[in-house]
Amino acid sequence: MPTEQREEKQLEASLDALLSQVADLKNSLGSFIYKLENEYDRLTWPSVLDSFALLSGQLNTLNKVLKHEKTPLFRNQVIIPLVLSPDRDEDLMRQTEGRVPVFSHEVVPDHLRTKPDPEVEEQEKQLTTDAARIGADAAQKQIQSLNKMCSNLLEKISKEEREAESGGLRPNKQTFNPADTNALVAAVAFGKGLSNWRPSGSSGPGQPGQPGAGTILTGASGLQQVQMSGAPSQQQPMLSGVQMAQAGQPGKMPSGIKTNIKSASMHPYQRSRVTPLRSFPTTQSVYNPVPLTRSDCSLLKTLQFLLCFQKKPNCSIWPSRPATFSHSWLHFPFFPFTTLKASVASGSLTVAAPGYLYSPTSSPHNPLGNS
Amino acid sequence: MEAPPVTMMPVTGGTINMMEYLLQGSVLDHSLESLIHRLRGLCDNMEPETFLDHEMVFLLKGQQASPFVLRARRSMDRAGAPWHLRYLGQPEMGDKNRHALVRNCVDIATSENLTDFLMEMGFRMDHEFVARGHLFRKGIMKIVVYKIFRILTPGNTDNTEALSLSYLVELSVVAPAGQDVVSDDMRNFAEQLKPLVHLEKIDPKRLM
Repeated sequence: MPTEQREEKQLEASLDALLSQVADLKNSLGSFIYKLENEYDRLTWPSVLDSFALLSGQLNTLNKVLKHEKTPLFRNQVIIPLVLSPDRDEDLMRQTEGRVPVFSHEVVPDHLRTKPDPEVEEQEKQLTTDAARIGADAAQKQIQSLNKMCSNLLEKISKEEREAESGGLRPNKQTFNPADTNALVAAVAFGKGLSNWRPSGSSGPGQPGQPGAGTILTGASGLQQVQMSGAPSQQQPMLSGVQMAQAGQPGKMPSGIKTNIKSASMHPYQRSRVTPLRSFPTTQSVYNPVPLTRSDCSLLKTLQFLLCFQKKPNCSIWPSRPATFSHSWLHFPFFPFTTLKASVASGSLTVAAPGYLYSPTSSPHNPLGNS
Repeated sequence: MEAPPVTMMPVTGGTINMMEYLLQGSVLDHSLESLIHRLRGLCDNMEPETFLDHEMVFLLKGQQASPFVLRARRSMDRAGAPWHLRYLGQPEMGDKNRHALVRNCVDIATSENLTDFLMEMGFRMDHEFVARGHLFRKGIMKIVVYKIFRILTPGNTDNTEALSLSYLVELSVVAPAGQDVVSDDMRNFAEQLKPLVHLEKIDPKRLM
């Protein structure tokens, strides 16, 4: 009898402890639910976490109470429903805070259940036997492989996250193509892949008699013909070459030149002075001398070579030049392709860039800096 | 009237002895927006500037082995702007300590009859193209992002076709010779454009 009484007392005590723990848990849950329902608009994440921490702590205490060595095994206790009644029970209503109004056959199986459903029980039993059948080594292996899979998955997810953050834009899409880079650089550097208007097989102006001189504008041919009348006959082969090449380059004639050709043809020998077509638009400060680096010195020398001739008006380089032409106005040296070409070109010079080349006042603008 | 005295030596000092430091790269069309966005963030706060230029490259072959090359550029979208004549020297790759390609460069503004003038001098046009794109500045650095168009009929800049599906990106600084420190700034800036665009010093001779 004393042992029975002692057990009963223990049961009472542990039940009380359990009840108070459950009541605490219920209060916390109630206040959390209230918060979620009524303060969701100003609820902060830290405060939600606080509530969770409280609930988790209380559940832990409840578990501790249940596992305490002094707590009797509740599963050994049997609860038998003595009376089932379909009538409303006010006492029960009060005790359950209005949740269970009647103690009837409908609610009893749910509220007095102490074991899981038979199917669940069956499944659990099977799992337990399965687990018991696997050896410790195999189990360890399975645990390891599962851990490995989980960590791989985690790594993948975090990597994706990082890339999405750092890359921001199309992490997997190419934004540039090295082959395109090379093609574009080659195009700007030496015109690779661009339209090339150079007549094939042509040579530089340093080699006379070839159509390379054809870069002189179309329409200038009218002028060339005018000049030919006063020029020695040996110019003819060269000029025909010029005109042949010009035929292949239509539509490049600036209007300013056309008007000048006309005047030149009317007064072929009176081009003593050509007035500027238009004044130079930019300020003097932009007129830094043309860039001739050391490697281009030979060009400079040839230009100067020509200047020497210009100082002597009756020099044979200008065979058809009238004496009225003042070469000292020609501040700008012309590149001497050949003697012949120079004379042709010097004739066309009077029309090509008049204000720029011929005005005696243009010396501050002198582009080659030979003043 | 006596001709002014002729000097044999090229003029030094002033803007003559300038070097252009250059890094190049490209960006595919669909990523252009991203690059422009980033450049607007990185560069000096200025109105977004676009350009549409027509560039003609002229050659003069003399006794020298390599022809003398001049580049004439005119703006197609800004009437009345002066033409731009540019001389570029041979690019030097340099060593690892210099992070950009370096080449001699001279820029001059000219009047619009520049092509006639060059033609009369004996230059002839080698090739031409149209460039359309955006311009950014950061300090002395200049960043141009542009598309190159091939000209289908000579001289007709309305009839063009894009050269590739990419935009060329160039980061350049024009500085007096020997200022190699600017290439450090350029490298830092180029780093900030990665991985969108990789700006590198590309030796054009390699691509010939």
